[in-house]
Amino acid sequence: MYTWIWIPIAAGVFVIALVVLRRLLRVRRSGVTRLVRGSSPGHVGREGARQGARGAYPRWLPAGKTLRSVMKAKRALPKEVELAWEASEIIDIQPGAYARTGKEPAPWEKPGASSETSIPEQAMISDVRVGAGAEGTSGAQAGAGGKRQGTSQPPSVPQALPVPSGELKPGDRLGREERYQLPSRYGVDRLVLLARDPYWLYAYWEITHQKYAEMRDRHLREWDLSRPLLRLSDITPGVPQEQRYLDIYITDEADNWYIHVGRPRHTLFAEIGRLLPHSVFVPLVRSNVVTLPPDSVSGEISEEWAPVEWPGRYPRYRREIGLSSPWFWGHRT
Amino acid sequence: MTKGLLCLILHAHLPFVKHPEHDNSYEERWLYSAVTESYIPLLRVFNDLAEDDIPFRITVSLSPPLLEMLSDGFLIGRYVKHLDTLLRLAEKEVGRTSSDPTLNSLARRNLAELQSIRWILEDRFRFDLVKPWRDLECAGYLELITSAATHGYLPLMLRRESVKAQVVTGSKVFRRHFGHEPLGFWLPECAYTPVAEPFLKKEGIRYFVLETHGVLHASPRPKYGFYAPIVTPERLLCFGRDPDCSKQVWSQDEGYPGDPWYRDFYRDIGYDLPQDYLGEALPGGARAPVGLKYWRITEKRSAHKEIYRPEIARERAWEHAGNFMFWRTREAQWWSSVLGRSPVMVAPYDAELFGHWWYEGPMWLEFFIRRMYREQRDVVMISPSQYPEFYPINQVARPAESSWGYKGYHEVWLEGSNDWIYRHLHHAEDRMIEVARRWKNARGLRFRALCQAARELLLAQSSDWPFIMKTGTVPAYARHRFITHMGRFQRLLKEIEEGAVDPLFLKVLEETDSLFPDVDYRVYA
Repeated sequence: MYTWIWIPIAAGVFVIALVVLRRLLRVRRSGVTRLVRGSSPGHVGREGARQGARGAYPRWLPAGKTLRSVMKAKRALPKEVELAWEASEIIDIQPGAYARTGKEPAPWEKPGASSETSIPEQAMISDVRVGAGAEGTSGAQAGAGGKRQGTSQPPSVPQALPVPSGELKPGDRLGREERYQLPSRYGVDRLVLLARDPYWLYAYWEITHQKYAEMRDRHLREWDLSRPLLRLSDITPGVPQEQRYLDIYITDEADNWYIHVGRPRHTLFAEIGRLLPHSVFVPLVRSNVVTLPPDSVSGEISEEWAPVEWPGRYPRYRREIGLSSPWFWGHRT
Repeated sequence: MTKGLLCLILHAHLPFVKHPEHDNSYEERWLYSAVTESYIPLLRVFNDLAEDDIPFRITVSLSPPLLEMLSDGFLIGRYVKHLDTLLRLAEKEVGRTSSDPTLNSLARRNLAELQSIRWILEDRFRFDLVKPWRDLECAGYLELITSAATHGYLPLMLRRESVKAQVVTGSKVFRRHFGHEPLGFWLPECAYTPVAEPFLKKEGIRYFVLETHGVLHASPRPKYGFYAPIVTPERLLCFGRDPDCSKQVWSQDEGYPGDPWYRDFYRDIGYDLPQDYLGEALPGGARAPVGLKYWRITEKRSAHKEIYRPEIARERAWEHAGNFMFWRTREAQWWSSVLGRSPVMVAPYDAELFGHWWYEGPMWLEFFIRRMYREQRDVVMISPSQYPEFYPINQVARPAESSWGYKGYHEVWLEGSNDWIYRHLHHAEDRMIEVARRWKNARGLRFRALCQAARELLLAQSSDWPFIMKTGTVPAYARHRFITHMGRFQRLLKEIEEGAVDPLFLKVLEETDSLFPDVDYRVYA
């Protein structure tokens, strides 16, 4: 009795299951299709990739991400980015177009500028004539000395660049307008160790003024009596306690140092800080951990032999590329 | 009876040099001369051998920036123009030397050589310099492997993500050009770091090559030394370079290329003749080698040069090929009797050595392969990926950090002239990772800007810049390139964070630093 009541219930459950299943399937499938559609610029080729901003690059939605959330994300972009995005679709690079985007025109872009007066006199670290090859030099990099920074060279007066009088190509403009100077400090506390060879380490560091001031305020009384110190800690297992630390008295002006350690295969890290009176060491920054490479054959003798795993794609590769070396074709076996 | 296995590996790499802003760039000539003098002659040799049904197997590593340049229409167009200029100059040379029969025969030879290159480029390759490699691979003569994205020096990178980006982008470029996964990976400068291994494994790489002591100093001690590969903890095959192979070919003093009968590399009409006469063949009025040479080495440490004699140089190449074969067979015979298994002799060279630096190199290689085929039965040429067909089980050991540079470690890329770059590179790595994690699903302009930032970082990481700074050939250019890429990177990041990406600046960058169209900044996330 009441068997008939189960029929609509079963039908309802079936419909709900169908809807849920379809939804799941659709989400997954849509993810896949988008992935495939968006991620094939390689086969389109360079021309295809160049054609425009939107079609060329792989931009797929992750599976499970609905369209609505994406739209939200897009709306969340600032207005000017939106505009710029739109603009990038339609602006094709024309000679001089770069100047027309509302920037202050450079001297050589002004109509009356002649080629002699066209170079702004400012420090141009990266302004080397590419075409001249070995002849173009802009002051030698500070080779020796304690302070070695990428930007510490004096501003060099540039050689007169021949500015072509006719039309300017976009690349031209780029080469002229770009002048970069790398900062000597990034405002980040850091100490980095790099292993140069089994015996030598290279360390460079940057300590921000805030960090320095903070530590000085904390140890105000002894600070003036302290001196900067780079302390290496050898954390290789089995190193006796008295050999664990290696102290190097550095100077306040230095920001890099070559350290002779002479302990191949050892693992070390470093700290830079101040050595206060009574041998109290106040660390300011700590480095990464490095392991020096070995310089001789290993003393460890144990024989573990393993087969190389043959990935599943290897047979396919052989089928496509050829069975084996042509050496084995024909009579040479 | 096989007594030895020989893996010849040619590593072709050039930094990405594309300067649309200059009409006549000195640095783009690196590419032009490498194509004219090395890549096309090598391809010609391989094709000739294939036509003669001579079996051989050589592994060629084409670095991603080189692949991108070889498939760049802009650069190839310029290259063809340059080649035509050279052809005109060679024709002029034939006229100029008409009074001197010896010089004249050399000038005619140079002209014929250039005409043949031009013909091959146009009629046989149809200006496509990637497909010939692919064809030879499909025929089974070559095995192509990839390298790090911009030939970045992996051990001196601070973050794992940077190493990952180099590895992943490198194999992505390879797949795009050749349609299959690379089996081997050329570690830039043979510089090994264990950090790279999981990423290599994940990309389907099966082997890589190290300098001799990278394998010899492995831990535990390898039983067969460098005469057998070791299996790394990630189960990749790691081959060690055979020092004898490299010394005989590579060494400046003892190597074959220093033979007095071979053509001299440094004496070039680009330096000898008046500038007006050379005209467009020189880059922007500066002296540079143009590739037309008439003199032989004669004496290495002397400016005195005598006229080149092609027929004698050819005989010398034949003898040297025989000598190299002789030593390989002796090495194989001796070591197979000692070790109880056939030794593998891994001989990696720069591809540009053959032809560009050593004019007779491609000829020597051809003679070597022909003589190997006809005159001996002990040594077989294989590619490293075939080694497991002979010996599938090998010793497990962790390779030693090393490189094939001077002194065997990182000193070339980390010394007084170039150590300042790492401060900027490491900071940029941190910033790139930070930004990539912040915008995991960037779209539109920001997506493009992030990808371009990744490209600029990859370009700045190229090991060529510190190398040039160290060797002092064109240090100003290397500094310029490094600072420019870092500057572009920093500017892009600033614009991304402020949400105000300059679309025009971005577009110009995308056209200039146009390699890796499919790079995805999310590898840094």
